[in-house]
Amino acid sequence: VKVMKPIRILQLEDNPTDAELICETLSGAGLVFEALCLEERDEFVAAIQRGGWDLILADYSLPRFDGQSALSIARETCPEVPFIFVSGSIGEEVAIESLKKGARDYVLKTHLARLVPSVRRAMEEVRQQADQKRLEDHLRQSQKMEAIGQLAGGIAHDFNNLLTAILGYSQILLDRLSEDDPTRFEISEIEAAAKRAARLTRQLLALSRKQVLQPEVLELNAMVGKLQNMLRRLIREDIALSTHLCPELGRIKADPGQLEQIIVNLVVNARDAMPTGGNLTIGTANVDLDQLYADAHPEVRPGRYVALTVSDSGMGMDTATQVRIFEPFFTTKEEGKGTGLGLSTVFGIVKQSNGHITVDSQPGKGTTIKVYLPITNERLEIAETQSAVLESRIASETVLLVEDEAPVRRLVSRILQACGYRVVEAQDGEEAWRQYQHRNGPIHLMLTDVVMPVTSGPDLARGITALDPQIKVLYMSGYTDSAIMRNGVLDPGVAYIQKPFTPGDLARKVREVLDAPSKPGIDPPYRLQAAIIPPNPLRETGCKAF
Amino acid sequence: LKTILVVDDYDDLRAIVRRILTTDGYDVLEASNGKEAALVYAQHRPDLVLTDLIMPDGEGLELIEHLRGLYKQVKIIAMSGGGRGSKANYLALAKKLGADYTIEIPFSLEELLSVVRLAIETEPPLPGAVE
Repeated sequence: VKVMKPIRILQLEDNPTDAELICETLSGAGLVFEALCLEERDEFVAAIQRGGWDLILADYSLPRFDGQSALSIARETCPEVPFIFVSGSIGEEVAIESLKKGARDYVLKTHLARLVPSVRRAMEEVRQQADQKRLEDHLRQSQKMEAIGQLAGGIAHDFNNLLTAILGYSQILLDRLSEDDPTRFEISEIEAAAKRAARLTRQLLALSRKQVLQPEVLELNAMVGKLQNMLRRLIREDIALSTHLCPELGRIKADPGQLEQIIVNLVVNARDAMPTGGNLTIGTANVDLDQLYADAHPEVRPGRYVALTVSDSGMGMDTATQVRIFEPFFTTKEEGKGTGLGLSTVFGIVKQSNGHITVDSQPGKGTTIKVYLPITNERLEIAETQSAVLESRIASETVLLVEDEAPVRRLVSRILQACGYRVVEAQDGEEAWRQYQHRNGPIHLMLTDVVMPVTSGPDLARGITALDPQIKVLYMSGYTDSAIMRNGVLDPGVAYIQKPFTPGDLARKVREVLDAPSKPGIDPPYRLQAAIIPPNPLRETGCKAF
Repeated sequence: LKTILVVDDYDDLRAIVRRILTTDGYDVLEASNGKEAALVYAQHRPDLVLTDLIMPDGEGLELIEHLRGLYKQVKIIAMSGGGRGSKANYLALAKKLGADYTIEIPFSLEELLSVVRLAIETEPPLPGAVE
């Protein structure tokens, strides 16, 4: 049942009989309101400054104060609150002057019948203005987040190419050096720094919503249960962690790694909000976000959701901070204490997973962040345990390598050659076609970048596999804006390796794709089945030392 | 009731644009990429297409070229916040490919509504008319 909130009226009136008459007129028309009646200037100023009014009704002439001054004060302090004069006759000119100065209407006490429609109209206008403002705010915020996301995605794309080269060459050098070589330390440091940079890039990708997601049907409670020990280690001893998990929780479809990241980031955030200890609660619940809710939150699709709630009893935050907490690089922590990416990463992942996130907080009263993820009817998948046995042999196949970034191309070529593959290089789709047409013997695998100028990797693959259904395709990318990944979700039949990768990762993935059976009947290039491979060092994949 | 097809891969922005347009009295259809938009257009023939340009595989520009090639009467507004080039470049290219109007992201609610009203109210050129 929708309960109507009473209209809060500030009444400026020195005559108690008139005040009562005005109130009776309003309640007689069925308006629900609370009125505070006063007549002194100081009282009026104090009441205005307290705020919270929906409407001001003012007499024009008062013994020790006047309506015109009241109007100026109200316009100054709360211009959004409608101000209506309810007075005896003051003459047309003064009335018009008042309207010009911002009064909403002028109602004569002798014609109180006009008051009710005037109040109703004013309230409706206020409601429309509030709706408009909310839409404006949403519009501005979502455009801002989109711009930031695009920027972050672009940076991450370029960085991933650079990091692939840095990581790859450091590992080639490390492989070449003997165990006691004095330069090992420095090169290991370069490698470690590149790995840290790769983690940061992943966060940038998350907030650009351009990560490659591999969603699975999941039970959130099981996930929280599994993480509990780790989370306890993450928080300090002066923080009590408790969970309230709904026993009949719906299933969700999400990337397990990303979901873990959401939980961990929210818990770390809650921890940091309680420097002197407190209570941290993780809860789950089934929630219906109905049309009414969606009306107030345009970005929400009505439906059934699982809610993950992380609450702390920490310092809380004001509204201005709440509005900005999901913006990247916005942090309230001391300099050097946070990257400002934790919550924006959460925001990006939630959005990319078709979810919704809210924050509820008050200074001194703690913070509750709620993540809503849509409930799925799909069943739990039984994890595939099929693992490919890797042969330790020198490879002999031919790989057509298509990559527009020269440093990455040279690196990849070198890694593959060290594994024994014959490598034919091309810097774009056009050259790839030429190389393919002038090939010397069969090409077993095309390893291609996804985003390239002119012809994209997927377009090239479609063309070549149409001619040569036997050729296998492996995509490499640091980015997901492409036809093989709608909204960042990888087609299950597509073989893909994420940049930056290590030489070992690449060697394993190439072997895996070459060894996977072709699946006839599925349109190329969607015919490769990725197998789950246990992590193996580079040497076990049959690669020579570089 | 005039119908507008909103094409954007970014769900939040699409949802808010939808709300703004429905509040202003339009019917709204949605698509999250160029290919989907081409299908929706073919089925429903909306009065106006409002499309982002930077979507996976540059589909915004392809969509404009595709629609302009097939449907002479289609009205198109291109919107762009710029990608790796400047937004002016993208929007100029969109115009060249057949967008009737362009709007830069970020835009205000009023800016959006005024370009939409302008596009809706302007009569499309008669078939065979010389520009």
